[in-house]
Amino acid sequence: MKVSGTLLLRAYLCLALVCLAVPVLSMIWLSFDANQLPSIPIRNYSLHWYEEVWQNPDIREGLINSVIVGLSVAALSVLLGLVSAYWLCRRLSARMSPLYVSIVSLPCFAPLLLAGMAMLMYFQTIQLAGNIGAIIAAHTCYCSPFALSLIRLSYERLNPELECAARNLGAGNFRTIFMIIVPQLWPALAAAAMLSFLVSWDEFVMSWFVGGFTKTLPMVLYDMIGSSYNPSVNAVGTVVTLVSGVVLFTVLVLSQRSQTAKEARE
Amino acid sequence: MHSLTPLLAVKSVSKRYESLQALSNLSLSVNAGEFVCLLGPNGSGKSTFLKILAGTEPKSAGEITYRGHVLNPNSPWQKDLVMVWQSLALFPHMNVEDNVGFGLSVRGISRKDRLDRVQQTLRKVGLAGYGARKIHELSGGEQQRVALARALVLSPTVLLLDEPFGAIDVQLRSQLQALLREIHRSEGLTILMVTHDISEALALAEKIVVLDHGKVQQTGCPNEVLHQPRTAMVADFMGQKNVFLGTIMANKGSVVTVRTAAGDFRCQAATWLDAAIEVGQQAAYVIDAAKVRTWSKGENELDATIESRCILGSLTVIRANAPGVGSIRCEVYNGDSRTALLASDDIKLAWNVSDAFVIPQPAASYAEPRPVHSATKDLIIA
Amino acid sequence: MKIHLQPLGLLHPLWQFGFYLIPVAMLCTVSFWLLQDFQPKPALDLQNYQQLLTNHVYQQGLFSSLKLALAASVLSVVLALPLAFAITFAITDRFRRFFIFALLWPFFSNYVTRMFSMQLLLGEQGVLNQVLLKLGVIAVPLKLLYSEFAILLGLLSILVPVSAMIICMSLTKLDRTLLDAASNLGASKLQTFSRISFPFALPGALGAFMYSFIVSIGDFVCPRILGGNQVYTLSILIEDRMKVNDWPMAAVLGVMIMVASLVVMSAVLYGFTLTPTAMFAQRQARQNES
Repeated sequence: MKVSGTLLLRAYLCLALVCLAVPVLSMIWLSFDANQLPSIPIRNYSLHWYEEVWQNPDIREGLINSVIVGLSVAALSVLLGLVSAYWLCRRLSARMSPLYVSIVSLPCFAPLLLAGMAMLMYFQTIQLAGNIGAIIAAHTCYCSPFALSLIRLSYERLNPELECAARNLGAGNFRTIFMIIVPQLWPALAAAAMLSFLVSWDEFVMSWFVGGFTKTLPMVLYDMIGSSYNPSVNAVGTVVTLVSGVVLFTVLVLSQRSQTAKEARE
Repeated sequence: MHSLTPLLAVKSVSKRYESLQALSNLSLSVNAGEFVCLLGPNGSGKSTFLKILAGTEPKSAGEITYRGHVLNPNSPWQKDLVMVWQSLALFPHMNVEDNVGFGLSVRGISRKDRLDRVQQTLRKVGLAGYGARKIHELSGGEQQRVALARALVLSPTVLLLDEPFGAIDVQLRSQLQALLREIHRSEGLTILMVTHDISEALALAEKIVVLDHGKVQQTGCPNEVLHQPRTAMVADFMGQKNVFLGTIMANKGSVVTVRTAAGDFRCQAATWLDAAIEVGQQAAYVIDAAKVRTWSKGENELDATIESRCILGSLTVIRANAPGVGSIRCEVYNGDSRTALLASDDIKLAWNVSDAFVIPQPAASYAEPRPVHSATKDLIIA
Repeated sequence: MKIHLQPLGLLHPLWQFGFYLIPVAMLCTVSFWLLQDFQPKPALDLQNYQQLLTNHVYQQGLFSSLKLALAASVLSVVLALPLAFAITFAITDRFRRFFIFALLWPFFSNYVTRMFSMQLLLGEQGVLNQVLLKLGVIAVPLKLLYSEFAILLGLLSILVPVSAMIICMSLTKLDRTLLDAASNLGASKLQTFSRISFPFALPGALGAFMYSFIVSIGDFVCPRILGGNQVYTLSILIEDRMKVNDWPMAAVLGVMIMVASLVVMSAVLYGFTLTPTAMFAQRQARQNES
């Protein structure tokens, strides 16, 4: 009997998804285990570890730092991304645009280790290290190219005559951007903001180098993962995973919306 | 009627994109209250020129003066020139009222005044009560009117139109053309319209500017452009004339003999051209389609094969093919009894010497716009 | 056009320049500095590079890093290719979003917690061992953790989803009608795959390889958490050096990583130009110009 290629591919896909999900799912599962050490099958379920996590001041501080950094990075990345997308689509000649994109996307092409290390030396030299601003700056370097590519995708489909019409009717630059461009691009802008937040939320390497004593949530987690098994980490991990899941879902829905909105207009 | 100083004077404007020269040395003048059509094939630079006037495209060289002041995108006079865009460029996230009122809100007009003026203008274009509708709910014709209203509500001095009636059906188009004519008459606007549709230009314009490859080929009233073309391109583009390329063989008395690929033909010199006729010169031989006879002998004769017959109202337009010169257009009145309704495909075309003329090439280099003869408004609609 | 917005276009490049390029340039200069009294001192000395060449630990580290990165990159592309094909061809449009979400969600569940959960899974008292013991499949717990195998597994869990997405993106350029045409001309499914579909996946595969290499050569979390003290990669050595404030040496190791990345990137970019679809695009562009 000849096995269909499609069937094989689907089976492989499901297998891969299961393999990728198992570590995370088992962590979520174990976060409800009352036992100090993981034991299968779980005998007592409890929310004890979540309470512990909630009481822990380090984790709270890390959470707040992560949220502040994430939101700031999202705002900065979208701003930079919008401005660069405008520049790329409306002002730059076709020859120069690959060069511009390359320069702007440089941080994505080298290991984050390098960036983190270099930035630490740099910030310490100019007395800015160990600061939440340093983390925000570092993350923005890495996230803004993603924002740019998302926004650019939508921007290229925009009718250039709309901006010309607004200008001809007397609108200045700010009016054109905020009354004409932004209302049309909002799904892409929102998706870019959420993606930047997500990448920053998850980012560990650069934060570790640059943050010093200012700790984001992943840094707190790293410290907690010593040689001994600390079950609170399961709880934190679960919360973090759920937040990421919600944001990722929103990003996908928003990019779907901007896609269909474009097609409806065409 | 028209003041002596033009409202808009364009001097030697050029526009260059990276490897493309879109406009070369374009000079033009527009008087207050004139209806000017910029006519030309695709890629002739007419839309580019309009965008330069609208202030959204910078020019590479040249000078534009408006009311005697230098016009550039930053000058306060720029707001007097308002454009209706080819793609309409209606803001999709706003309703009709906000779209039409956009220019007013940008100029800081109060909400009440804005609403009044918007309602007034919508009534003028026949869209009373459409204020709350969304753009995507409107039909093509309604969207065109909104685009027009958006420009008119600002009471511009100069209205720029970029192929405004492109993608709509004939009946709707003539309605909108009538609307435009009415507005031109009642508001006294100066209108500059770009189109590639010859019949539209002939129907609406007081002055036609023919552009090709970024250069002005001819400026004049419709009758002039149609019957007194100054270059072979204009003669050919307007569609009314047949143009054969050839060499001037002889110039005796007032009769010029031109050798074309289909034979030697005789014609007269074009009285409106200043260029001298020299033997051996390259030239374009021009004969009007309406003057080509299919039923009798004539001073010039040509054997041809009929390609197609097309009935346009009271005329039949016959396209015949002659070896060497390609497609020839002839117009025959349907009621004419002299025409045997040509059952066979081979015909002999004939015309008089006095009906044909020659344009020596290179075409008379065209620098100065000619004064408009506003009296000669007898338009011929092809 | 209003010129006022001109400087705004430089905002983004300036940001990257100020916060990324200058630090990296500084890194290169620091690699020539010396460590005196536990403080980095500016100098112009090749001593650190000499150390790199002579010290056996650093050489071992370089070798480990390269070995791991190359293995991870190759494996990630090999594993991701069928995934990409599955997502593009074997799934109906309606479910595609769901599968993409399912694929990416574990990836976005935070880097550190992922490594921790792998530790959880693979440890001697971990979930996998407990399940296998309880099921009677094995008698003694498997020593899966703290080995190169574990590190590889950890790396792959973060590389494969994104690699699959990268290859997907280049596969979307494949026009389905090409496949119909091929089958109409008589090609079998295998022939269609190898001669039509696969070349379109090549640029994506190269991109995925580059991404995987760059991520795995710079990663220290995986080797640290999943490798224990068994494996010393360049990244771990850098982490160590930074902890004792030995900037110059860390910088040298960083430069090594940068060089390795650049070499791989150049090779991949060259490979891009050799792929059939790229050559086709080049020929089109040349035709359009003439």
